[in-house]
Amino acid sequence: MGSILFSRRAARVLNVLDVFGIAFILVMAFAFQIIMKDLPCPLCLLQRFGFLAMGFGSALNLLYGFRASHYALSIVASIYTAFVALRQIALHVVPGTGGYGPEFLGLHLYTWVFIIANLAVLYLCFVMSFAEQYQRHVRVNGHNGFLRKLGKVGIGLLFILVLLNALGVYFECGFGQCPENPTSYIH
Amino acid sequence: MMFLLFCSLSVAFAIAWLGYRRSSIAVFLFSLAFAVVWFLHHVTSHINIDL
Repeated sequence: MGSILFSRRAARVLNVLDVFGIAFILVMAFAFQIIMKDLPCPLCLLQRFGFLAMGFGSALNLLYGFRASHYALSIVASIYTAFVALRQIALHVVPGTGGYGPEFLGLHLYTWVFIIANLAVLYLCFVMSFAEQYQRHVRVNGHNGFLRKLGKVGIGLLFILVLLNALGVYFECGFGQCPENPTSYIH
Repeated sequence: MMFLLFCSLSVAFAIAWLGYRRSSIAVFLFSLAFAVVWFLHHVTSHINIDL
């Protein structure tokens, strides 16, 4: 039966929310890029990569079943993303040096990335600690049919976002080094 | 080079979707290692040390 506190269904709901949450963040990043003409710098691109990598663990959970190793991959990606964001904060934190890019609710986007990445580490450590989700069942629960399909839609969305980011990087940087303060596309 | 980073991650997602779990994890870890190296390159390229 499993614990009421954290069933496999609850774990599936959370992983589906993870996937769509990360997709939402990346879509917002594209909105800033296309609508506000705010081209991503190299560190910004690494943070986008970090978010997509954070979604990989959740994707594996939804495709292959819940494993602590899948959560671990997302945690490593979250720590990486936090380091990259912290680097960008450090570059602009000294008074007078000026920030980079637009602000949201008073904080720069890289500051929000740092906050979200650290919260993600805490969240993933909390979620992965519930053992009930790792119990394997023989019978497939029919109530999860909609969630399984929704999960696959989310994974497909993440895959499309990875491809779109690759395309955006090609238009911005080609195959070479990306400019530090990009103002226009080179292709 | 950043283009290759996102391409390798897309390959990881594609392999995972196709049903090869361990191979997708291997490709993912490769792309993550590539990202770490790229980040370290970015950090060290901004260090001015007069040797």
